[in-house]
Amino acid sequence: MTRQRKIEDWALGAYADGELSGEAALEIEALLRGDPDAQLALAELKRHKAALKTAFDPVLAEEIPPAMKDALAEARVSHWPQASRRFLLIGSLAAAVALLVHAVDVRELANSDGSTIASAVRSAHAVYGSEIRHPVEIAGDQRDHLTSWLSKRLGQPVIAPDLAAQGYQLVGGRLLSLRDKPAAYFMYENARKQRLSLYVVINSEHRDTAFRMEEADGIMTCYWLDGPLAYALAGEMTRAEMEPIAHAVYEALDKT
Amino acid sequence: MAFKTELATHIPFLRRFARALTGDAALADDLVQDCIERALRKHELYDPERPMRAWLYTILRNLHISGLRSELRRGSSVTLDEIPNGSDAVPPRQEDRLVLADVEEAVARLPLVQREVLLLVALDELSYRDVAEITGVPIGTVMSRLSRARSFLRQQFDGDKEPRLRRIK
Repeated sequence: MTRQRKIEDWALGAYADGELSGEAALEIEALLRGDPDAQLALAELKRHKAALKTAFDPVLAEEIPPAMKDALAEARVSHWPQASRRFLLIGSLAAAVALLVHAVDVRELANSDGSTIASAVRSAHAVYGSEIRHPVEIAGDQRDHLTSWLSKRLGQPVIAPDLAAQGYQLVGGRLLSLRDKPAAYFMYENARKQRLSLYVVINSEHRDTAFRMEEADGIMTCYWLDGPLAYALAGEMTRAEMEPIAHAVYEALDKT
Repeated sequence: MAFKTELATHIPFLRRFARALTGDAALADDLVQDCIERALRKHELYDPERPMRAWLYTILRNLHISGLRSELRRGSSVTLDEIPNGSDAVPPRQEDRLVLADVEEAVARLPLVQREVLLLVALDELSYRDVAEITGVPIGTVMSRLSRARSFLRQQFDGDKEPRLRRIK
C-alpha cells in the first residue's frame, strides 16, 4: 500500500539529501510537522542512508593496494592542463590508415578563426535540429544501413556511437557536404526531446589534435581531429553538459 | 595541488564506490586500477575547473559499464537497462533485519542504473547535478532512479511491504 502522505517520496528524498533551497526546505518542514507518517518515512530514509555508509565506509580506512601506488608513482604527468587552455590534447591513437586525396583541409578545420567544422555542425544543428517532420534522411532504426551508406560516401568507416548511457537515442542521419566534400550527419535526441548533432568529415592531415569547445548563438560545439576523421558535436547545452557527451563519443570511437 | 597528489586523495573514495557498485573486492580494485591508469593517461582531458572526484567517477562507471557490456555481448551494443542486476549472484535471505550483509545484498540486487545513483548520493553525498553529469542523464532521471532505489530498499527491509523478490533457486 502506498502511504497517504502529502509529501512525495522524491521530495522527501531531496530534502534529506540537502537538495532543496531555503523556501522549498521550509515548506517540507512545515508539512512534516503535521504528518507523523512522513516523519517516520524521513527517519527511515536517513536510517537507510546511514546503513549504506556503515556497510561501505570501512573500505575508506583500508590500505591502498601497492599496484595503485605504483601506477601513480610511475606515471609521468608533466603538468596540470591550464584552465585557460582551450585545446585539450587527445592521447595516442591507432595509426591512421589511408590518406584521401580529395578531402577537406584539416588546417582549415582546426584553424582558430575559421572553425569550419564548428560552424558547419552549428548550422546543421540549427537547420535540422529544429525540424519536426523530416529531421533525417535515414531513421535511427536502420542504423546499419545508415552507417554503411555514409561510410561508403566518406570512404572511411563511420559509426553512430551508442549514447544511451548519456540519455541520447539515435534519431537518424543524413549526408551533407562541407566544401564540396561529403560529410556524415547524425542526430540524437534525449527523453526531453533535446537534440544533439554529430558531424563527421574526412581529416586529411591525419593529425590527432584536440577537443575544442566553443559557444555561439546559444549552441555549444565541441570538435576534434582523430585519425582519418574529424568530428564535431553541437547542442543547446552548457559546456559541463557537453563534456561528458564528447568524452563518450570519443571513447566509443576510440574502441572501434 | 599537483594532479597526481590530488588523484591519490580520491583513491579511497573510488575504492568505496567500486566496492559498493560491484559487490566484489577484487573486481572493484581492478576497476579502480584501470580507472587510475586511464586518468593518468588521459590527464590532459581533465578540466581543473571541475571537481576531480566527479571526473574520476565518470571514468570508473564508464569502465564498469563497458566491461559489463563486453562480457554480455562482445561486439554489439547493449543498453544500460539490459544489464542485469546482481540478483542471480546473491540469493535473498529469509530474515528482514537490517544487518550489514542485508544492506550489501539489497544494493547488489538493485538494477545498475539505480544502484550507482543511490551510492553516489548516499555514500558520496554528491549533488543531484553532479550525479547527473557522472551518469550522463538529466536530473529528473537521477531523481526517479533514486526514488525507485529507495522504495526498493524499503521493500527489502520492511516486512509488511509489497511482494518480495522472486526467489532464485
